[in-house]
Amino acid sequence: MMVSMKKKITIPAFIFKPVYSEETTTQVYKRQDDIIEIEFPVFDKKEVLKTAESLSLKKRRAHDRNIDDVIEVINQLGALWSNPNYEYRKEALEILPITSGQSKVLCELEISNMLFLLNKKTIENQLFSELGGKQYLEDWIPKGNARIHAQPKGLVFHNLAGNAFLIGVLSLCYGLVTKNVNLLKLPHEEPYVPIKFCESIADIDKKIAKEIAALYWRGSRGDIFDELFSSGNVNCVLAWGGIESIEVIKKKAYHYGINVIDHGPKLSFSIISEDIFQDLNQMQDTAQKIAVDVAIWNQKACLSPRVIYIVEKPRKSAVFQVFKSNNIQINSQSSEFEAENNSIFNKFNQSQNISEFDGFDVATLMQRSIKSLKNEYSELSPLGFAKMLAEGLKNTDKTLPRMHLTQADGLDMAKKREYFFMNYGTNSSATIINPPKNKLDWTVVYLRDLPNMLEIDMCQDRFVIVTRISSVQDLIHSIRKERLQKYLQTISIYGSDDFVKNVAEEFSLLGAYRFPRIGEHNIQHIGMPWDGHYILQDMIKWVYIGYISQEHDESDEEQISLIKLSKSPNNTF
Amino acid sequence: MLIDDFIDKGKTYLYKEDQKEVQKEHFKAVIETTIHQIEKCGLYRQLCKQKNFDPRRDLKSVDDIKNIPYLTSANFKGKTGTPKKFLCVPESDIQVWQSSSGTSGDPSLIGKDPINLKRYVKVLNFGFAEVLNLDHFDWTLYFTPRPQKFYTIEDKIPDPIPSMLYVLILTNQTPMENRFYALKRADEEARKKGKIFDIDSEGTLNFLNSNPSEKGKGWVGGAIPLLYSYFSEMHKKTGQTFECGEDSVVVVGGGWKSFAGEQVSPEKFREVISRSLGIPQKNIRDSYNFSETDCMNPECEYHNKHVLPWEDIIIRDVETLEPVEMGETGLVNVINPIAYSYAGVSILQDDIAKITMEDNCPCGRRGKVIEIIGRAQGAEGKGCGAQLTGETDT
Repeated sequence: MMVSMKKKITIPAFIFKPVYSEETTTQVYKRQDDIIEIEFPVFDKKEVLKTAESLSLKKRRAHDRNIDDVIEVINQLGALWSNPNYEYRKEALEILPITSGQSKVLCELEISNMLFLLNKKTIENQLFSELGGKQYLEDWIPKGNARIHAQPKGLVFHNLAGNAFLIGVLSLCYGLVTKNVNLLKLPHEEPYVPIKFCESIADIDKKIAKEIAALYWRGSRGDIFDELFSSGNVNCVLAWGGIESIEVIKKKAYHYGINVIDHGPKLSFSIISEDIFQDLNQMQDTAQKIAVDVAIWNQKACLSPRVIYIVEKPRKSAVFQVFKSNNIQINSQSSEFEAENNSIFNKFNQSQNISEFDGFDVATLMQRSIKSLKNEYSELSPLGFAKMLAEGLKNTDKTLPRMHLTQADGLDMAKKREYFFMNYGTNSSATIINPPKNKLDWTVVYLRDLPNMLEIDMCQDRFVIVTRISSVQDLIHSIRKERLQKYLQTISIYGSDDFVKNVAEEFSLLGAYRFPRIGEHNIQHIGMPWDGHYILQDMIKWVYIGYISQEHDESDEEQISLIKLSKSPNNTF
Repeated sequence: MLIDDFIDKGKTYLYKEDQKEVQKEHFKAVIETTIHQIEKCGLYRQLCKQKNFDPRRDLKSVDDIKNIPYLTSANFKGKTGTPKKFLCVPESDIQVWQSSSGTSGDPSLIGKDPINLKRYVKVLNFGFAEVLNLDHFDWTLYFTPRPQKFYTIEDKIPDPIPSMLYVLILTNQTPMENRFYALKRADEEARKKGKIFDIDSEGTLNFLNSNPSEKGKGWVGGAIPLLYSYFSEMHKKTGQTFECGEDSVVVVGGGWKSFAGEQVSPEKFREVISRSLGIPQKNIRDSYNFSETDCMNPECEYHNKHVLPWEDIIIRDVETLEPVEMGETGLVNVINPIAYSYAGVSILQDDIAKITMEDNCPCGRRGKVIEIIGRAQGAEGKGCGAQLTGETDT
């Protein structure tokens, strides 16, 4: 029997060490009978500015620390949290299922994945892949006729979001490993995890902890951001979160010439080639993999797939083929029929209801009937795939279950299903698949039309749309029409190598960055860029000393003159 | 229709010992309304078809009411919903479009024709008279701005009108000179800060200092946070109290969160208002209403919110949407057979509540009593993978 949890915890802020303040705020998490209240300090402008100033004074100290010492601290941090008996981890795994809405097993999986990154070998690999090696953070390394060095930006301000509880930890570790001092603004929705990791760091190394502050102030306090950025203490901003908050931060930071690394909302999905319909087992396997991609983070992460686009090219009408083989004339110009037929078919794909079409002939209507019959009765169809995905989500619900829904999330799921039914189900352009008895755990919507931005936004919390496209170009057109290019991030692809390459080419030109295999949305390969850039590179600046090498002859090929000097002997500086 | 006769017998049914009989009559009215809405509203008909629900086949006993397909309030939202598609009468018959307060930025719109309106006003007046002790009143002090126009039930109103304002206009039968309004249009400076209305302190104080009890029985109305912040601040600053009369009644609504976002306890609210206005605490009442139905749940003198005879409330589990037992919390599903011009026989609201008792309120009124816990809470954090359409930081 499940025992409900009612717990109130008070956590400190972390300003070089755990600290409390007079003013506090409470975040309440409620799932059925489980209630957790987290009370944490709220700080005002004075403290925030003072903290930033103190941090700023430690930039040199952070810079001077040996990189191996920093890596060792992070390695120990990873080792501590990998231990199932570590007190902080035990407590976190008790609390996180309620605060995040993910089951304990899912939280454990996500923590394990993240801890893989907090490992000496991984960090060194990442430094090697992104910067060329840890030595560049330590010293001036010869390169050509110069010596180059990766200098920390200085004070990195991390404006954290509450959607994925480990973002803050990763963001902080990237800041540390690039020898920055770090100021974290905690999100109201999830202040707990960053604080616990800061406390762990303090337990490992009190000195490095003195270069970290993680605290909360109200996001509505624009004056705090203004003065923080105008103080000259902040050198770089990592902005996670929603569009509005990021836009506000960008505007304020840019005003003072501070670089903002934007990790705002992103859109991820999957594209499947019609080759999938050749193999039922492959379809099932792919659907199951997508189900896992959906379940991890409950689609709250930027990389979670929300929509599954399946290419299904318009085919020659089977009816037409029959007519043709029997020498039955559909119209006088049979060669034109196919083209017309295809264009009608494309139009049909984009339409919401039949009444929009004029001048259908019998063959077209029959072709549609055959298509829909195929969709209805054959598993080798996009609708069949949607059903397999539903099955996959059902299976995944057992291995990677979610926690109880909150009141608002349950209601939201019901409203989303109702929306698709009212807008599409009533004219047979959507099929809504959900668990028996209308339980709200997950939903798959097979949608005949391409979803718009609002509908894509509804795809969260194990709510997936499956839809078909007649070609990749159709999807590109739809994304342009919805102005979604700037949000594109991860697109997993199923298909032949040529198909994968073609899709990656088209969509990377459109704005997307990651093209993993199906089932690997949540895997980030070490050394690969993120959102088009290398995250560690964002936190450093490359500097160099130029010199005339004794060993190397100056050659024109190795130098680009910024000023065209005259050969005139009179030209002197 | 059956519901009209049922409404006329409201008082008898409210106190009737044998509630089984009331439920049976109510059930018949619900069936009739459900059939009417399915026949007249194409979209609702399709929903019922999809749910494989046929009222003639599936509504056999009172317990089957829970199977009537419900609509969520989202369908009635002006921007993102399709309120016109849920009309059961021609749009030209609509006399008024009532709008919700629209705290979400997208208010609900409910179209009501003369038949629906007549019923609506009847049940409102019933609630005021039979439960809220407002069978008559001689003066009103509303914490609203003065309406630009005073409508009657016969007036066709061209633009949507906020439900609360409309109710206060329709139910106020006092002479014009006895109607007082505590809000005024904000001055230019305040408007620049986004305020539309401000407290008319001078006018309100003049009225309150004029010994309102001498004018007879009054009704002080408005939203809880506004009244609470106004009178608690005033008491803190000046300690001033007023005499509004022992018989006067305060009837409020609109949730229990203060402007600062803190929860105001009903006990504290009653204490503050009673002390300030000289009105006994038993006459300080809350009423739970929402625009998407025609029903109200007024508080009796024991501060219990009653489900009046024509309404039924089913509480549904937030994860399965199945009905829960008495005492358990869940989403509010209102069964409203009064709805005639819109498909509102079964509406799933965004609020969390529980049924605390049935037929045994000490006030003697029969039927269910509900406790409103508040809005459904706990929308999960939406960050980098979330709302493309915008979100606010906290």
